Amino acid sequence: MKAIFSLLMVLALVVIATVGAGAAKMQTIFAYCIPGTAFVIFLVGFVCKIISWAKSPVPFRIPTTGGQQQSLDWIPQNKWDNPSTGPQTFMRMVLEVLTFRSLFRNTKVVLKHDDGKNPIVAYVSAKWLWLFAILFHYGFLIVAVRHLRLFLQPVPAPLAFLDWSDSVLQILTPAIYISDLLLLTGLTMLLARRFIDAKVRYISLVNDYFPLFLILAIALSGVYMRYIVKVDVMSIKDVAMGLATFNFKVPAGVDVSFFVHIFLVSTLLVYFPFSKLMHMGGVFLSPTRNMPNDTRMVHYENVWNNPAIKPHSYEAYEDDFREPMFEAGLPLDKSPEDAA
Amino acid sequence: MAKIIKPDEMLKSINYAPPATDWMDLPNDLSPGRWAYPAKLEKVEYLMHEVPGVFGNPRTWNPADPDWQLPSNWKEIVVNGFRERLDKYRSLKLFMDICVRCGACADKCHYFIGSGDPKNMPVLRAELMRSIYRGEFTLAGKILGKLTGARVMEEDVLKEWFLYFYQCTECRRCSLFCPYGIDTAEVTMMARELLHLVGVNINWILEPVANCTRTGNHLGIQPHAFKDIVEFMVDDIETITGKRLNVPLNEKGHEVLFITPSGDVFADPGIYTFMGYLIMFDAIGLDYTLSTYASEGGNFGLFTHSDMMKAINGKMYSEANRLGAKWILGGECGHMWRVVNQYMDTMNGNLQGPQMQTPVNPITGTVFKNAAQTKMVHIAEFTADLIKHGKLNLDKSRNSDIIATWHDSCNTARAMGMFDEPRYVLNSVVDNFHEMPESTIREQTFCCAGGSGLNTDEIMEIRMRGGLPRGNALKHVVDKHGVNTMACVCAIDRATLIPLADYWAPGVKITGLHELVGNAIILDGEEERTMNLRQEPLPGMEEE
Amino acid sequence: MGLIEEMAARSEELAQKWADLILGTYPVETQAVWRNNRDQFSNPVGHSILTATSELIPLLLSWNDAEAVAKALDKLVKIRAVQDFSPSQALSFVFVLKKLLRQEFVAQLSSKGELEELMRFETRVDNLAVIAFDLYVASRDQIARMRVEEVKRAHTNIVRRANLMKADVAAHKAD
Repeated sequence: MKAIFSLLMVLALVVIATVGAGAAKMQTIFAYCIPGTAFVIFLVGFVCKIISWAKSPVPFRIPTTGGQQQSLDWIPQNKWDNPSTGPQTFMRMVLEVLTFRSLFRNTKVVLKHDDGKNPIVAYVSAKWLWLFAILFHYGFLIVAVRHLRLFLQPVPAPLAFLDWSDSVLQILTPAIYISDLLLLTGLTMLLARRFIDAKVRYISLVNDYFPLFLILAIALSGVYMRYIVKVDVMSIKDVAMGLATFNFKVPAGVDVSFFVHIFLVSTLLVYFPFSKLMHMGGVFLSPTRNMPNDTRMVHYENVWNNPAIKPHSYEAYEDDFREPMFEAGLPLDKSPEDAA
Repeated sequence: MAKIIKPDEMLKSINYAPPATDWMDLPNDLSPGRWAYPAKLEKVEYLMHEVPGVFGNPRTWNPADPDWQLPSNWKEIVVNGFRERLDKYRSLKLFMDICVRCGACADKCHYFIGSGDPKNMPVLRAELMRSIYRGEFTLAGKILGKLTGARVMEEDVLKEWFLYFYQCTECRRCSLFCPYGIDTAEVTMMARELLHLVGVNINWILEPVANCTRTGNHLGIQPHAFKDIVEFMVDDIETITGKRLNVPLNEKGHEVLFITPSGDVFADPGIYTFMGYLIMFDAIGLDYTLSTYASEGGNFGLFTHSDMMKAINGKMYSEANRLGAKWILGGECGHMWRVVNQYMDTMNGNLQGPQMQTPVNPITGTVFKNAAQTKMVHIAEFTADLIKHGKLNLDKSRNSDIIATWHDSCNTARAMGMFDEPRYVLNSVVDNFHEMPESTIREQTFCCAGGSGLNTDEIMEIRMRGGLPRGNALKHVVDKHGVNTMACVCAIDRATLIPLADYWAPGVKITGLHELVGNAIILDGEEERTMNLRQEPLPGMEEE
Repeated sequence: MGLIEEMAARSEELAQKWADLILGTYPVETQAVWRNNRDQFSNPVGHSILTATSELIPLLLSWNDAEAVAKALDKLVKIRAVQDFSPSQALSFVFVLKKLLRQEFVAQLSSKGELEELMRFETRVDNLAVIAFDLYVASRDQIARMRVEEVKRAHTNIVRRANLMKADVAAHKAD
């Protein structure tokens, strides 16, 4: 139900773009106004969200420790899973952000049988989610970076190299991009997982299906443009350069699929800052990952720490129990006579 | 008791798979046994007076009643409290926004594994709160409502929070597997703070908190009685070793203040661990004192509100100052060490007196650099250092009947990272040690299902099903290696693992680490021992 | 081929089907999760259900070792005794075996006029239910006992002191 609703929303977006840019001839609006506005909303929204998170303080250092702490000199510390210094924490974050280390950790235990049919415990990792996530994210990253060549003239050498190596397989004309395959495979698998895995299906919301369908539609419209309609890349580059340099020319000779593509991308940009996609920024701020486990070693300040909160004082305690304490022979600060 | 249903209903429940219901539409089951008893009126009143602004709405109430006697403006209190916490805790705000519902955490919770209740999946537990966040604080949620997983605060939601945020032991196992480090413990802590504001609470947490505040320990034992109880254990040690130990209480001018959870003083089998500490301190001639005022290492305040936790924790430094102790040695406890490691200095560092110094082991000279700021050392770190330097005279053969395994406590595992110190100590005092399967130990350890103040007997069934993953792993090493003892460094574990083992892996004894150390230590001038600290015959002495 | 022989030949399949029916007594979402994951440690419940049914079918067929039957049953009964089930629901898993047997064999046996064989076999299932009832009650008793013992353990030294106080009072009176 939630998935169908999401799919319909994405299809509606495709229709809007097809009708708007095709039949209604609002090509300038779809080529410049909408993407430009969307980009501004994305930037402002993204920054605002980060600021809103950053405005909330981190009162306590609460890293989730995933390995041996730093303690006695002869006990080896697990520096990447339980960092106690800045550089170690940086490494933990690098591994988390670039290799999805926590997802990689996902293991499960199974009971297998040895040759004599005796049960033995074996460990297999449940790395499918990690694999799909890696495929998707890296595929998406490369595709996004590759698109920069449309906005830059001349195309910088590293981008040209990326473009070349991405299409190194040299199958089909135009040559197929490896990143397209990664992205589509990752997306399909992530989506399939949401349908097939019962517990994930149960927890999934429109907020989960919609971005998946949207990105899938973006990727498919891109693939359609490149491999099926084989649109004129130079005229698209004109539009892109126009956007980047504020030099708006009426788009000419551009297939309507381009407008669908760019409209969906605009939707994604607008949707991004208000959605779970902000995990892209949030992962860097997560207090259970980006802090060292060092509050026994160095002081950490809580900005709203309230010094007025004091423990129930020893004086009050002794006042409460002075007589029995005296009788039991416990040392007192004030003898019963002094207190009287 | 579970309700009795008619046979035809039963058959229906077997033959007919009910339609998949969206979790928001599942009704709350508030039958007895699904919740712990609410706090007594006078405990809430006392705490409201001691730490203002944390607790509210003291009354006598019953969760099974439809009317929870909430204040008329309860919704406003909860929603405003929520907003306030979003501004105070980046963790909460972030965790409300960035979950992608990937499901990596879903099957990591011991309560989910044992019960199969979907609302026990960590992602859904957090979603109980996240849905309110969307419905009350985000524009999209307000407009699109349920489609985007948003809803507004209702009484049924509050009841659902009570049921499920008191079925989370704040063990952080899910957080380990989350790609963004989303920590359900943090979410549960916030939800419980909000529940306290409107007087929705459990007695098993608030009574210890009130007792601890006034008398210094969870059971509310007054100082003179505390002294008698320590004397019992000194008597027992004399019976076992023939040596009478001197145990200073509330004495000024000692180098070290020793604080352990009071469960070690009052409860079987913690008391044997306590005797182990005393024997070891005597063996090395440690210059220490105990305190009756700060006689509780555990801090149930952690399970209520950060202010309450701070107030209770502050006693440790205050007492160290009053007694002139240079540093604090902490006993075997789980959540106590979450507080000491991640909160103590941040909250109460300003209370440290000028006499306090970076802890140095007076016997070996080792400087505990990792405790330079808190001035507090874990006894497993301390003992590991002693053994490494050969300062303890140990007779392992006294533990030769023990085939041990090690239970890592959630808090020392995932909020501290203390794994190898206790294992080193354990291996130094027992001959036979076998680990449980890899995915059930160390940072992936399973909870005893009684943490975060849920170790009460009225929810024994919840605890048992939550304890299934731990019990199951334990059963495995019992069958495979003949394990007969599970050791741990946590007072709650020492209480909760006993029924857990009794039910899921019968025949396994639960001990503290220092009970085994105490058994193995040869004291100067002791008589030949014939029994262990439980006064059971030592191996080879059975016939006497 | 008689009923027993056929059951023995299809023992694995029957165990699987029985396990599926037992899973059917849990909520849909739960079933799905437990069905897909057969790991002993990450899914002890699903694993126990299948182990128990796989062990019980051959034991029912040989029907000569009550202790082994009880041991196999206990795995499952213990789990269901602490889940949110009424007693009748908790033990329903035995009776779904009857349902399965009827589904699988009634048509075939009645066509051969050998229905009596099934009815004779069903007494074993009834016996199984009675054993399960004993085990269930034992588990519930154990839970109740654990409650009491836990409270006692928590107060070991307090109780000890209370007794001491009584002794003191008595001594005082004697003076």
